Amino acid sequence: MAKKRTIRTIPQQRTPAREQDPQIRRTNFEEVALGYDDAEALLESQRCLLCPEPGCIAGCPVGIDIPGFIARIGEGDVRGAYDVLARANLLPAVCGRVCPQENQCEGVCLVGESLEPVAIGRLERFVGDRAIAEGFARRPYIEPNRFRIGIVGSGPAGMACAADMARAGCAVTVFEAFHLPGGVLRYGIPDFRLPNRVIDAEIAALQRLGVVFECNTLVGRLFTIEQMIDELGFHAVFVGTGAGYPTMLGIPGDQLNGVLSANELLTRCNLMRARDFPNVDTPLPLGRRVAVVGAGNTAMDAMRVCLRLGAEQVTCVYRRSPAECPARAEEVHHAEQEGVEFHWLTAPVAVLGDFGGGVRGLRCQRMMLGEPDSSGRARPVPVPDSEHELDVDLVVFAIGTNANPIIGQTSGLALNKRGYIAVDDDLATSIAGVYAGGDIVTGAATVIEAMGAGRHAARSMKAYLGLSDPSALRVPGDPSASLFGLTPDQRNFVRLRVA
Amino acid sequence: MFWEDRFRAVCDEVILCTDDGSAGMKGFVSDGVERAIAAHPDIDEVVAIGPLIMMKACAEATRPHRIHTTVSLNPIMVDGTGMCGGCRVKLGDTVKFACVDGPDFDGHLVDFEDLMVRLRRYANEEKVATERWSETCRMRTLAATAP
Repeated sequence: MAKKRTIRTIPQQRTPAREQDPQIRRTNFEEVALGYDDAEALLESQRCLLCPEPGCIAGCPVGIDIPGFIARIGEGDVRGAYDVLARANLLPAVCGRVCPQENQCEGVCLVGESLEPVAIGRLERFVGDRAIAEGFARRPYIEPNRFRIGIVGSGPAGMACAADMARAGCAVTVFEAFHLPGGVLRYGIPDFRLPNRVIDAEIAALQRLGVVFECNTLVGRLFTIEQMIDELGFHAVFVGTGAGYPTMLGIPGDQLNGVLSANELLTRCNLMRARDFPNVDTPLPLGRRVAVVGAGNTAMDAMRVCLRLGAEQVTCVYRRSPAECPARAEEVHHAEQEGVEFHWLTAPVAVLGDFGGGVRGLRCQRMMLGEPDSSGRARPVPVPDSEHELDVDLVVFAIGTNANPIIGQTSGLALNKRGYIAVDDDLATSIAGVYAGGDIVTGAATVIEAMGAGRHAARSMKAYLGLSDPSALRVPGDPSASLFGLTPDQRNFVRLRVA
Repeated sequence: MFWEDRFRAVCDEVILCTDDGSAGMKGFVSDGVERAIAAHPDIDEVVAIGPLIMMKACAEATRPHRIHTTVSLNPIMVDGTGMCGGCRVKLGDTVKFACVDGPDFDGHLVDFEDLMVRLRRYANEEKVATERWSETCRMRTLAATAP
């Protein structure tokens, strides 16, 4: 029996993750963070105190048994660690890379109170990458039933819901508007942060479960949600279309040709491969001097993409201070290393045009922090007489997104006043059998929260279809309280819909 | 000229316009619209679909008569699903996305000048891509005909 770990006996320094050199990586789209090898993962796993009442599990939106999987890594049992992870998280290789761990598990890690917290995200990624490389995710035994499930959108919410419904034995079809599945993982997050091969591996794992992907299919235009239930023979439908409708700032000049949304820049570059122009036909607006407005993860991605496309100068314009910046700390750090200039407490006032419809500059004003606003963050207020101009030829807005309106326009689904789909506690929408989750319900959030919503919806759909949840632990008890493994609640829900 | 018979089969009246007068009347579509309005003062709506300059001219032709004019816009889009914001169109003081809010808009509100500038956004890249395409086509033809 090993000696009990204490804060004094564990390795004091967080194991560094190897990274590509900033000067080299700003010229390529290869992954920046290289991930732990066996020895590094083992070393880092020794830093977990395996707390009896771990805060990290509560800090995780899907409640991963974090000490459980870290302990397995410490025992050299990566397969076992994956099994623990996979119980709660279907996309560990993705979430280990893109979760904002410092606000979630690592933010409440006990070690973090006196030292740097355990690198939970990097360990999760280590296990996820190993699972892909060695094919841990084998096809479980699936008892087929006759239910057909339609899923709208192949992003994280749709993928998670598809996996759970396929495991329950349903025939699952995922509809994707673009020509490749993956949703925001594919079009939004660049290769240097989440390589395509990781997404491909996760999609392939779903296909092994029997999930069918129908790409180039825009639900709402080709057929409606109601038609999926009434005519296409789906017994239940999950809508996970995300919040992809970009916000423009509404300042003078934002209609100019050199102004675009981060979504457009990233989609052209990532999904449409415009960075290989002219070998692909997608053109890309190249900027010599670029200003990106906003400081979220999307803004960081946009800036780092611009650097890699050859921009000489990339400036981040954000109206609040670094403390309010919503991006992952690691992304800000990486962007700084690569040479992005940050103009904190600066707000754009107008985009200045040249004679050809292009951009010649961005007029900004300095801000100072005032009283907290409704979001609890300090409200930025303009500093008088502080207007100045930035010499830029491309302006990218990364200031958030709204609900995509297509499903709302084309179906009878009830929406809330912000245009998102209205759901109850079970993620059921106003149409029987139709569930929704992810950003299209909550507004822009994180990959892991969307995934959690997809799984939540899957549980509700199984109850709606009268399927018992095979992963739920059932303790035999009073026979009158249980019928065929269903609780009285579930029994009342059972609808006999014959396929 | 093709499908003229199909148009005549479903329309009460068809006015053909050609630039050189080789078929129908000689003149632009907007001239045809003027003629229709002159002949039928009770026209309720005009729908114009085609090149921007034509839709703009039609909207200008109907403006003095205050006839509601619908135009169908084709700004540059990446995905056509409301995601990129590339297809934004100025309508008076508001900005709309043609892919999800349109593509049909009130022609009297559309800022055509702005739209024409936006359509030229990738003029150079389009030229490069076209040249590359013709080049690969030519190479393919050469390869196919080579002994």
